[in-house]
Amino acid sequence: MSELLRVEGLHVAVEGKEILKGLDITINTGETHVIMGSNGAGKSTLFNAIMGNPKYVVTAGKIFFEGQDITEAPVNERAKAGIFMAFQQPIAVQGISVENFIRNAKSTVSGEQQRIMPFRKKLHKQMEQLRMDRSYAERYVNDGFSGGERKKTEILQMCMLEPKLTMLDEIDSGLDVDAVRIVSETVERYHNETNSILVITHHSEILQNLKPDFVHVLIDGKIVKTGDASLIQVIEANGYDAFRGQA
Amino acid sequence: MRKDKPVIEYNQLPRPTFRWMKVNHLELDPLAAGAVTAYTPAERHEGDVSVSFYDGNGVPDLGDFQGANPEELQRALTQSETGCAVKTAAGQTGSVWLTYTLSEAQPQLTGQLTVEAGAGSDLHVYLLFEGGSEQGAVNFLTYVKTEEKAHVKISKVQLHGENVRHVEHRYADAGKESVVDYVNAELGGKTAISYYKTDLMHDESTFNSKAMYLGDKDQVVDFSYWVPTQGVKTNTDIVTSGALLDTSKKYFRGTIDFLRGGKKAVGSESDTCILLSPQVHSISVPLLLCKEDDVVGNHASSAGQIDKDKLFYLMSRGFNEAGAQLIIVESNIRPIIDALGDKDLENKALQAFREKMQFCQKKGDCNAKCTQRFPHLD
Repeated sequence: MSELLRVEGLHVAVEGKEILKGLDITINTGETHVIMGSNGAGKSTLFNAIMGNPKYVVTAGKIFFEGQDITEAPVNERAKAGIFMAFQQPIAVQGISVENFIRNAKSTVSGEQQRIMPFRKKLHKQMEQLRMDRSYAERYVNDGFSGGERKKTEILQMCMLEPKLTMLDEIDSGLDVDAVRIVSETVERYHNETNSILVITHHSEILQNLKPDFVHVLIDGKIVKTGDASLIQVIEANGYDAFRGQA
Repeated sequence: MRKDKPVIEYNQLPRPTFRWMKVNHLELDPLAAGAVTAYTPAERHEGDVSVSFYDGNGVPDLGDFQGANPEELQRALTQSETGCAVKTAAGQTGSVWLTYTLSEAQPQLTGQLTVEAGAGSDLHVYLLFEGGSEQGAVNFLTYVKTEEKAHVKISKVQLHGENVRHVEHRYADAGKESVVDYVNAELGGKTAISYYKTDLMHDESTFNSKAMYLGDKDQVVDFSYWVPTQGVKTNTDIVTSGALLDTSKKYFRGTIDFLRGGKKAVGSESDTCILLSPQVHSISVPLLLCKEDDVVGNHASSAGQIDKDKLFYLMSRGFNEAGAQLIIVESNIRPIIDALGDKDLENKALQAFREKMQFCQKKGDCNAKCTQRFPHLD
């Protein structure tokens, strides 16, 4: 397995307040990592920093993707490099249909113009797997979608854009049990030895299909514990209090 | 204070506010009137609709309607170079396409259009104003009359050259349970002035208006609406949305006037503007006047820069900043373009919008190159 993402001593501030305080993590190709932590620990901040959200200012540390320093790279360059973030609260974009949006995004990240018919065929197939009605492809992106449909649309984008690193920011929040199962099965079907998954979650249901290789506990801006999947049961049984002293 | 040079005032607010706010009207230099030359627009129609052209005045008495400017309205009534009457009889359905083209030979145009829909009829009028003339002026009066349960929709795309002044006075008298729909794309001209008054004096009459714009350079776009409502259960919905580049200005004056007796009327108006340059001006006066207590009125106005969260979301999907901005601005106005209801008109409006956005992004004569910089969104 080759190194895909390496984060070294990352400090990130939002509006002058330091959220991440020296975070290190390395993800190899083909691995699934899960980040768990209490609210406000800095999980979403980490994802936004990796994706390059300008609201999240890297004050120290480095981010490497496939060996390249991307700490200062613009957001779209990171997307083209193969990083994908499924948003906790996906944004609605009126005026452009789901199909056109994803086709244009695919053309942009791949550098190859997507032919309509083969693209549409693949899109419809992925929608079937996600149990999404095809009519959603014609609707404006996330406009009037329920919370669950928005999350499914994020996963649909992941399947079509085929990133090397997928970051799922609480993709299971707001989903019913059936939707959690469909989403997690789809992600697991997509996941293989050529790509990696990084998941933020508060619930173990989604991890029944994803089978994490590593679980990290993030407390107060630092990863204080890393273990295998058995760590999830410890957290579920005891909460995060046992880890707070280690921050 | 004496003014050094003569000015002409357009779009006077029906209930003026403080003068120092400078929102009561729009002041412009007067334009010299050109010679009157007969003109006939390109026309085609479908369905059960009658279309005829006439000389002189074909518009009935408009009462106290003042138009965008009383003198220009008078000129449109008495010196019209082109008159077109569109009618549907009771229960019939039809569509009419009219194209008014300015040219070097005819850079100025004063005209009339009367649209009359019989009871229960459904009439759609598509208006296109375009042409290669860089200089010029249009002074246009549209009269709309709907009988009981009729529906009239007017979709208008304005694509004049960059020094043209386009003024449209539009008056509508909505009958009982009838619907008047307007969809406007104001993309051309140096100054685009719309003054729309719709009387909802009859029960359950409805007025809907959607308008989009994209201002650039020193363009001025001025929308003025006045909707007196006295019928019971009338419905008014006014939406304008657009963006401003360079040093352009936009005025929105929307007045929904809930008159006594118009019980259970519902009216809403909103104006959304994306500011793409620090030198632009967006002035908004969404006014609700109320003499009846059993009504619902909503008004909203927003002007701001590009939504940073939306920009980040789009860039996280690979679009560069300029491309993401284009998508955001386009997403704001696209529902209105899509509501025009005619693919050809929609494509013309979209093309004009993209050309303006792309040209302005690079500040140069680089349209061909710029086109490749942006994602194809069709």
